[in-house]
Amino acid sequence: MKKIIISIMLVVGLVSCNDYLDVNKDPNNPETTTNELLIPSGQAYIAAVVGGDLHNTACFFSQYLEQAPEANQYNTLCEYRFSTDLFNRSYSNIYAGALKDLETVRFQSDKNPSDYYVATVLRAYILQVVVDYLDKAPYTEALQGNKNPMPKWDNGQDIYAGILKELDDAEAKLDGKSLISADVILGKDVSKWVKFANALRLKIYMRASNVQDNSAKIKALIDENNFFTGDVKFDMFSNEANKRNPWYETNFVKLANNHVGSYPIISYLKETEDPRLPILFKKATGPADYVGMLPGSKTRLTANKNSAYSFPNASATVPVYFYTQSELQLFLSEAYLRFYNNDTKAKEAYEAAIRANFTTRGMSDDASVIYGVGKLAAWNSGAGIDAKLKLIGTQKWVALCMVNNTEAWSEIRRMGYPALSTSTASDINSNPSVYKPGELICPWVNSLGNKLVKVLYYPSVAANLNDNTPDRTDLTEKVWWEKN
Amino acid sequence: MKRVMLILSCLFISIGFITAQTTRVTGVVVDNAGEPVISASVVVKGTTVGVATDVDGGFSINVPEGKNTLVFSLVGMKTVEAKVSQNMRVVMENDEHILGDVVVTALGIKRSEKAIGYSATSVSGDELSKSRSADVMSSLAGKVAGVQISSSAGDPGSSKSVVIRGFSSLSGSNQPLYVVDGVPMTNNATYASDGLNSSYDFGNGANAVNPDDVESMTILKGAAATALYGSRASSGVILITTKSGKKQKGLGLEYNGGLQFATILRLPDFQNEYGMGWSGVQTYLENGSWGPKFDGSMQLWGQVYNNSQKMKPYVAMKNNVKDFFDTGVRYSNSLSYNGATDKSDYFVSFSQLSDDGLLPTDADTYDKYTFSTRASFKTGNLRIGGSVNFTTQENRFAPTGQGLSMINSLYQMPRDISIIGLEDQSDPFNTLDYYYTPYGVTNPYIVLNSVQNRFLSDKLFGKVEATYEFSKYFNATYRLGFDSSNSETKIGVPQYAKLMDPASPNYADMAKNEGSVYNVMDRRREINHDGLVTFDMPIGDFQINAIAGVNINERRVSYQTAQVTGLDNPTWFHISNSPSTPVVTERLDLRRLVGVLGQAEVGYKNMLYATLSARNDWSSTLPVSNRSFFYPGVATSFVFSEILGEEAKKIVSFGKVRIAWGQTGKDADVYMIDPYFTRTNVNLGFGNIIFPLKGVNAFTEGNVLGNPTLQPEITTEFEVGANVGFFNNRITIDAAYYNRNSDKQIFSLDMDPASGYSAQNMNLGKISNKGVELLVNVRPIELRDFSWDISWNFTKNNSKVVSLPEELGGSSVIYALTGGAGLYAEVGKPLGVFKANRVERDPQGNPVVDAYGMPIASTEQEIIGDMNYDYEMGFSTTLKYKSVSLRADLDIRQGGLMYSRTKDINYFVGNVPQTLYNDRRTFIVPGSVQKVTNADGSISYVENTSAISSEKVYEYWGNGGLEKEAEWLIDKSYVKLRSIVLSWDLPKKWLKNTFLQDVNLSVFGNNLFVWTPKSNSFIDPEVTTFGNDLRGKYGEFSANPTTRQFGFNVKVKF
Repeated sequence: MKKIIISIMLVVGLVSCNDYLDVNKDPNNPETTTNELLIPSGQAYIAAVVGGDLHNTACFFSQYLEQAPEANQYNTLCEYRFSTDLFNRSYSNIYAGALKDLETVRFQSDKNPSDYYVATVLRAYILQVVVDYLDKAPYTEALQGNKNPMPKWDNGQDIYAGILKELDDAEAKLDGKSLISADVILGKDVSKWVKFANALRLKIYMRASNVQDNSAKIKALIDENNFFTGDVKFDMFSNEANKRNPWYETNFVKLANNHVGSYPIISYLKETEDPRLPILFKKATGPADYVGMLPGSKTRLTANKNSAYSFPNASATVPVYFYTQSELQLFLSEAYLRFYNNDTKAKEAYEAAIRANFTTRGMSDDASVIYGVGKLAAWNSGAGIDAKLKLIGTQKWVALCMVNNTEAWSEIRRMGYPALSTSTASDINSNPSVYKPGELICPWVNSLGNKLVKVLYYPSVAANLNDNTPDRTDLTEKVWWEKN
Repeated sequence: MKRVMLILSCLFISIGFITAQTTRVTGVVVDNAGEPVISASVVVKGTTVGVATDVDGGFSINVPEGKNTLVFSLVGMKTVEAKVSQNMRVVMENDEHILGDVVVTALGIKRSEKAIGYSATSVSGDELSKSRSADVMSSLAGKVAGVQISSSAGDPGSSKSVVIRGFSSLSGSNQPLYVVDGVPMTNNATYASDGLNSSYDFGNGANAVNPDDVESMTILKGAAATALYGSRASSGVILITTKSGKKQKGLGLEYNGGLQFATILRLPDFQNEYGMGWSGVQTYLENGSWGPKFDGSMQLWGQVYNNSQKMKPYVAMKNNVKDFFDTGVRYSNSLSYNGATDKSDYFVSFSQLSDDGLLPTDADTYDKYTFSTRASFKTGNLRIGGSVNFTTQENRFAPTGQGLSMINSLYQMPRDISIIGLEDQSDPFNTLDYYYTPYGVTNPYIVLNSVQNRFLSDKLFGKVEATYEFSKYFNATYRLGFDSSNSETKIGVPQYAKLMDPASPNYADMAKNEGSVYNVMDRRREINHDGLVTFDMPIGDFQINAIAGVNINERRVSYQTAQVTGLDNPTWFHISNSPSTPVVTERLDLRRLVGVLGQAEVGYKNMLYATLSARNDWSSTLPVSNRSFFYPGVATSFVFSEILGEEAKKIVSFGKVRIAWGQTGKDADVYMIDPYFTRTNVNLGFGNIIFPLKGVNAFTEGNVLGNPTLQPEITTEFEVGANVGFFNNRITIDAAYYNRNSDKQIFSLDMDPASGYSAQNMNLGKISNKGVELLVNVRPIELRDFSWDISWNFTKNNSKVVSLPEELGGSSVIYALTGGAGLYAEVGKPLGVFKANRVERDPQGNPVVDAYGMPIASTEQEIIGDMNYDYEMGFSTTLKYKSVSLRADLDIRQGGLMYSRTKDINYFVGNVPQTLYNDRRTFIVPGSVQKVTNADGSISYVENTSAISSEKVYEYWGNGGLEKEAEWLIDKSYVKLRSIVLSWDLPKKWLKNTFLQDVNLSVFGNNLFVWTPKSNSFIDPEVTTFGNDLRGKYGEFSANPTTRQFGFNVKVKF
């Protein structure tokens, strides 16, 4: 009997030993990690959004591409009847992905202000995109975990001001040390990040310049003239599973044959005899020519098959462009025009932009085929400012085509170029001559009536989980910086 | 303890005194199966001298001089009188009206049914073996009140879902704990986590049990019954007692063999009026039947090959889909050998099962081999025993779901195509290159022959056990239980484009399919140490039983997966066969649990019983401060028929009321406490970006926020019930009402990602399940050679989501399709409501259509219904004439919704008669209106005059008509003829002079017919492609069809 009692006590003794139960440390995932690993993570999340989901959404809104007739993946985007889910994945990848990782970097960066700075620049970059697509966004109360599971939504204008201040503050703390973190965008060169930040400030000021007087700040930046050279890009892709360009991976590997060229961009490229046309598109197989599809025409021209239209060229390894030299140069051109009244400088920047775009696309062609004397897109110093802005806007539309669609849609909305054709898609279909190339076309089937989409729904994932999420019912509402 | 010993020795002494004046008689009481009968009353006839039989059925009684007859009685058995002799062996026969007279309860304790204060249902192994299921659970479908048993798929070897008294956990498992001979078994199901693409279901762990080895099974439902099993028993317990060696008349050899055939049970009803085409136009290349009406004319069709094209009459091929399927064949053999001596027993068995399902080719097969051995021997007061069971199985499963699955290609076949005509691969028109349609599907024969989907699993489980009897009333047991499983999964999808001619018309569309190989090596191990002391003795009118014990449990799961996409050798499935870097994952889960348990039971005069039980667990998965949790239970029963007079007993032959209350606690999953980082894997929706990229690695903060204050889930259950038998138990009723509340649900609560996380682990929410269970057995006819039994069971369970965190807005998603119907937990509603977008309606309720007359989807999802059955019923009837019996079982389930992609895709391609509405002519949606925005911004509605054009009819139906996404939610009611078994035991006298002891021949049919409401002309609503737990109730995403089976079986005892 005693033996049994003793052995029971032994067993109980063993049991009470907490060590036996201390096995709940997750061996599968580390509890901490370093900035070295977090910065590339944040950069990849941003690339996936800017070069993936939003790049795709905006390719339709910018009328670069249309839903191909024999597939159905993006019907709702072309006809503006997409759901409140549209931005969900981007929203998640931005906040729970990029911004959270960058926040952890900032938190872990007491000893290295360069890490803090780079994380801040990336944060500012992606927050601007959120504002440009949603207007309002979680900002001051975001990223606090369960301390604040329902952050309030701040006004876009306040977020713009906030990120500019963050950039200044982080820059003021820089102490000349180089980055600790891995940096797959600008090679750990802090001075390049400063140049990128200056261009980012310029972009932010320009985006708001129709509703705010930012001329002094813009001029200060331009006078300082410390901008990046080349393109700022995430160039880490290779042609194998799970390592490809995000837009390519989704639309040319996992899905296929959903995109054909849109009527406006192809018409304009043909009109201007632009050598970028064959870089961007393949010839249709029906008529052996470059043929774009009228926006929203899929269910109205049902006799047309895929073979009737031009398919886009896409590449598995093309980088995601965060900010291209051509976009920067076009901002400069516009600024010289509007704030310096300096036509020469404006023309210089305009032409530099087109050259830079050719370079980005790997073209060795002489860019003067676009802007040379007598060409349709040549700079006309004698023209009025509106005509020049129109030229800048239209060439920006071309330059950003399938390079950074995400930016393109924002710039179309801000500049108002390309403008909307006064003819309907149906009219243009029956009589193409009523259409002037370089104009957008109101989608034939359009759940917004005769208007273009101006903003996205607030994502349902936020609306469902956060009482502070504002309502949005009208997709023609303007983002705060768009002029009336 | 000393005091007890003192009492015991006093008792022995007093017995010693009495023997001086009487004759001491010993013996054993067994039932017709040779099993000991426990707690039977043994009374010397004409006296009040009596004893009860012990756990071995043994008794020892002092018979006064002059008396020579003993009366043996026990509720549930026929009373027997026998003349006194030494070493008596008395056989008591079951009184079959009372189900499970002796019930194996928690920890393997055998109890008289009347002593139990909660609902427990026992089933004998014989019932399982007659209808020859491949596993232990499926033959019980529809037979046990309160237990919902479903086959997740019709495919051989797929998993079974067993849900006892409703779903009570939102995030954890709702499957019961399987306990085999006292040892918990690992019962994970292996199925595709996605459910949409290339899904498979390779069954669950309990499938490893050989049904022929089962002596009996007991289903413990309520918390009071299961408390002793600790946290894993909160969804009920299935106790499986396997056969052990017995003293034999013959050799002890038993053979059971069967042959079974399977044919298709249910296909959608197809239309036979329209053929290949789209928008009303014949195109020769379409994967749908939206072409013109059949006219019998000769038509060209399919791709052009070598300047030629196929030709066929434009007529319906009515049975084209049905003809595609073969007859499935399954054969099984099992052999066992057992025996026993006074001191030892042994049992050895071997079984084999081989099943080739009804798909052509061997893409769906299941082979299982089991080997079991167990033995025990007794030396002095020590009994040592053990068992080893080894199961090895191989499954092949034809993947389900969208994309290039066999079933998806099959259902997108225009009505005029002969499918069997596509098999011949020497015909160029049947090849990948020139198959008639390029639109996302291909030749189903090619899919079956080229996709590899294989699962190999070995499972070794058993125990070592030692019991020391300190006295007749007091013993101690130590048990080491183990269960170790290893499995390999290989899923290979060919790189089709490499098998093709790049100039062929289908090449461009197939080129995106890169092919892939996915390997999983999975290893699971569970170790249980149990130490138990048991005290069981009668003291006067009281029967006292007490147990104390300790359980130490460790569960370890580790697996590695490797996947490459982009195959070089197009149909060779190996990780090396790709230029891509394999994606390799590694996972290890380790959890431990220590439990201390106790139970005390008091019985008074075989009439009044009370059982108190309690357990305290310490779990490794909870935060240290909340690691310990305690849960008690109490159950009482009162056999009121014991106090009835003789007259009343003629009417009420047996009566018991019972009442029980209990709790069980459930710990968390592993690693839900701490924050973590993980290698960056960006979800693109379609596709991913996974680091490292160009030699750079990256880590990201985990999206699920850990919670250092997590607590266990606690389920509290109250139940009352009654068992009453009338007219000598010709009518018996077993009724129960239960109320179960599962509180502090642990789950990952979705958060606004702006918080930096997409979810946090929380204890939130309460789910209640209330229900009634009823089992009525009636024997209307009982003659000497003939009897007729009817049994009816009824279950009604009402689940309700009592609370959910406010942050969720009172709603939490269980499963939802992007942009489609979703299954949710919503406060105040039954668990699992379906929400979907229907057509938008104006304030008068008229459907709103667009400018082209097409219905517009509403912006808000609405509740369409829920996943729960209104009630479940089972009917069975058994006719017996001498040794021939005929049994039929009907399983009835009423109400509830499920999602059906089979319906969706058949609407999309226009293959079902529902799409013939209005002869596919242009029509205006009846009562429809258009929405007009007035100049002042207000909205008004005007009558719609736009007709949907005949070219657009396909779009109307493809989008679900007026119901939109809700159209794919179907009523899942059904009535199934579960089984018919005709069984014949050869008369013993025929076998008298042979070496045969028993011969049983049976003919059976399983799942012979299914009847569904008219609205479901599509599928057998039992199937799912989302696994065997809560998410499985979402429905099916192009599941393979289910089967009806029939065959025969021979059972011989030597």
